Amino acid sequence: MEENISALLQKVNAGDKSAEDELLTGLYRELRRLAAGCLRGDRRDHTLQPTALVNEAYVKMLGSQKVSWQNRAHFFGVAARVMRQILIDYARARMTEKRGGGVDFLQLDEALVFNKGRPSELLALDDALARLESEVPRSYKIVELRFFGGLSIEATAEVMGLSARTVRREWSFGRAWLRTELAAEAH
Amino acid sequence: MDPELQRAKEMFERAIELDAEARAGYLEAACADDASLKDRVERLLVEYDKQGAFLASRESHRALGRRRTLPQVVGHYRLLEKLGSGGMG
Repeated sequence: MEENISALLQKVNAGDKSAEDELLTGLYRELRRLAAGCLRGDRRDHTLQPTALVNEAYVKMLGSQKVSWQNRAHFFGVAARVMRQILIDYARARMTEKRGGGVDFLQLDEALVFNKGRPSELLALDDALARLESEVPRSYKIVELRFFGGLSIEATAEVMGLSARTVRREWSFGRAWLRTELAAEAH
Repeated sequence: MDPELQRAKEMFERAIELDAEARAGYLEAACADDASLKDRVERLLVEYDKQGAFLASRESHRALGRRRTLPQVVGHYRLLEKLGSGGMG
């Protein structure tokens, strides 16, 4: 397994599309499993920390191998995309299950806390993210890597080949823009 | 990108480098006869000022193998302890 992922990352790095699909599928499976573990049972608070899950998946899939930073960058880039999808799947499932009743809180900061959570807020965020992606793709990509992948400003700058200053600016804009969209929707 | 959004984005990026007073002056001057542009930039700035920890995911220290010093305060959260870290190569 570990050997395979490493070889897979090499291929992704070389621009192999089917390798990227394979990585995506593998990550989807792994991250879903990890997320389900956090959300199982009768715990009152369902807390998902995207970054923690992505890291756990990394350890599981790559163990203690040495991995070049380019390959790590690909791993975290794909994982961030997958993580967003998983959170949305989860929110949709909850919406259906609960029909929006008796749910009231979602914290969108360092952890996503579904404390009897309101999945509709996550869905609104997802819609806003999709709009950001089409209107300001660079800003979107940075939000994705930072929020869903847990990359630092510096790491994001390396992955995207931008200066830290540019990343910081796009990150500020992306978040402010998303907030104006969410505020507009709430009214 | 829609040109009006592009313009608003550029103005936003310039404005966040300025202090409150200079910002107001800059917006007045730059949006002289475009109230809707000014409104758009102002709304972005309001949200920027109160975004706190919005979407501020805990950064991965493993991500690109860099060591970082943890900040004591993130947004309006104070870090109490380090819960763990990776020992990856």
